[in-house]
Amino acid sequence: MRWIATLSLSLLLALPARAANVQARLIRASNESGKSDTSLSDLQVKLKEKFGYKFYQQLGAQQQPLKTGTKLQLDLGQNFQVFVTPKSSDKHEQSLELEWYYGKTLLVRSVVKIVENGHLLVKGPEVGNDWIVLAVSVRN
Amino acid sequence: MAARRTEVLNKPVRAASKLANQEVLTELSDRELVKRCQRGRLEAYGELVNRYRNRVYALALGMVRNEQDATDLCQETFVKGWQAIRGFKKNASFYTWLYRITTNLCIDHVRRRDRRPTVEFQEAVDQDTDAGIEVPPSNQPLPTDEVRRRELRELIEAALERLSPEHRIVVQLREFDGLDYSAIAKVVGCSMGTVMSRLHYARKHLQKLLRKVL
Amino acid sequence: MKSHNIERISALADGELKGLSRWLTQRHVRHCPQCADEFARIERVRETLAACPPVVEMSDSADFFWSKVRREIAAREQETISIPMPRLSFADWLQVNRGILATVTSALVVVAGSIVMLQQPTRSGAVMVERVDTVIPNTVATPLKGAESDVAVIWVSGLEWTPDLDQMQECFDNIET
Repeated sequence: MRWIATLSLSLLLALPARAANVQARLIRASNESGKSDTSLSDLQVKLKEKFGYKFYQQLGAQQQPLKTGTKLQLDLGQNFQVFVTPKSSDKHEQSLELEWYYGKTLLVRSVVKIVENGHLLVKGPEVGNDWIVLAVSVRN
Repeated sequence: MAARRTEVLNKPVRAASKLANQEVLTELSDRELVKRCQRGRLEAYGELVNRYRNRVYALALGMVRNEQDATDLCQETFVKGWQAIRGFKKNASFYTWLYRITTNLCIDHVRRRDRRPTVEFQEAVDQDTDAGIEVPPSNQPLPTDEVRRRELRELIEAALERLSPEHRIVVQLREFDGLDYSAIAKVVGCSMGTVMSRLHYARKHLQKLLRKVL
Repeated sequence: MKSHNIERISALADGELKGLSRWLTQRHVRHCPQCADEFARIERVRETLAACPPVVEMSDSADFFWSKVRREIAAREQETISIPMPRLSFADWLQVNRGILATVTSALVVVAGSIVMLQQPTRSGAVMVERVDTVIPNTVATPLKGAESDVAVIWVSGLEWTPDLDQMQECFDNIET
């Protein structure tokens, strides 16, 4: 019986207390070939489904650990930035306030609840025949 | 003449065949013998009877303290064993099962025979009649090892006789049959804790009875 | 052993104690003179009994006894009886099989824990937009409801179109928010 208790305790302690990370990606959706990106393989299907474009290119990405009450700045390049403020969290879900900026201009502000491996996609400005899309997800 | 020659020739073949069968049975394990018994082979049961009759007899004698009763109970054990052999589960221990039959028969016999309660160890000690077994003095020259061993054996038997049936049986099963506590618990039908307790107090009692030779 | 558990000393002498309980009892016997004496006495009794076991033999010969048993079996040929198999109490069964039980239970705990831990990363739930707004004039941000729960979309419409990323700066610089 002592063996069982010791092993169970070890297992519980071994379960890592993993910090959540927020990842933001700047994506260009286009119909022009040659503009596809393997780093977006996890999102390709969903992007195609939601936005209809054939090709998706990652322009920039950044990931940072979430700290409740701390506003994070994620620089995505091309003068785009995302500010993320964690509001609350439980085991599998994060409540985040997002502000998407181009330069000093706030494009959109939102409060979302995102689960692990869930995605928020924001359709942004149109550039030529393409769209700029912001993808935000939470990972452990 | 020709017929007689045939008769003479035949005899050794029959004897050898019987001997061969017996040898085969003696080489089989208890489990193999039980399997054959379950198929109705009485001669296989005969081998089991041969293997265990003295041990079952010793167990019965230890409990009932009467040779004739012990022989009868031993016989009854084996008869019941044959009647119930088809229900015997293959992975169990045959002698544990057999001993359990013996124990139950002996307990029933003792209960029927006399109604007096079992004298437990504590009472026996308190009564202070628990004198040690006396070693008779002798003016003769030092006995040989064999004689000494025989004397010691008699002392031990006398000491065992002074134990209660419950204590005697656990000592017998542990010290002379070599069963472990779980097997003894199954034979006697009590918990392992009870076996441990009875064995301990039986040994304490034997210490007192045999203190002059220990 | 916190107290002198005398009965365990017999069990120790018989080799019936295992693992931690054996180690504790042995340690106690080494340090307690009273129990050490008791242990020595029990060992002497055991040795004496082992050296001179009572010789008990049935007066009936093997063949005679077997013939009596066979006769009785034949007489009761039609009878069958059922004798339950001797078994340990549940507590004793647990004690005897504790090693196997601990191993099996530990293995089950490890397997169950692994399944839970492996499943966790793939768990998906709802992504929900609670609030969205824009400050740019003539711009609307709309959360779209989809069939899947692990993707949410915000559709921002009315933002200035630009021919190229390089020229976006000029457009947004002129916006008054």
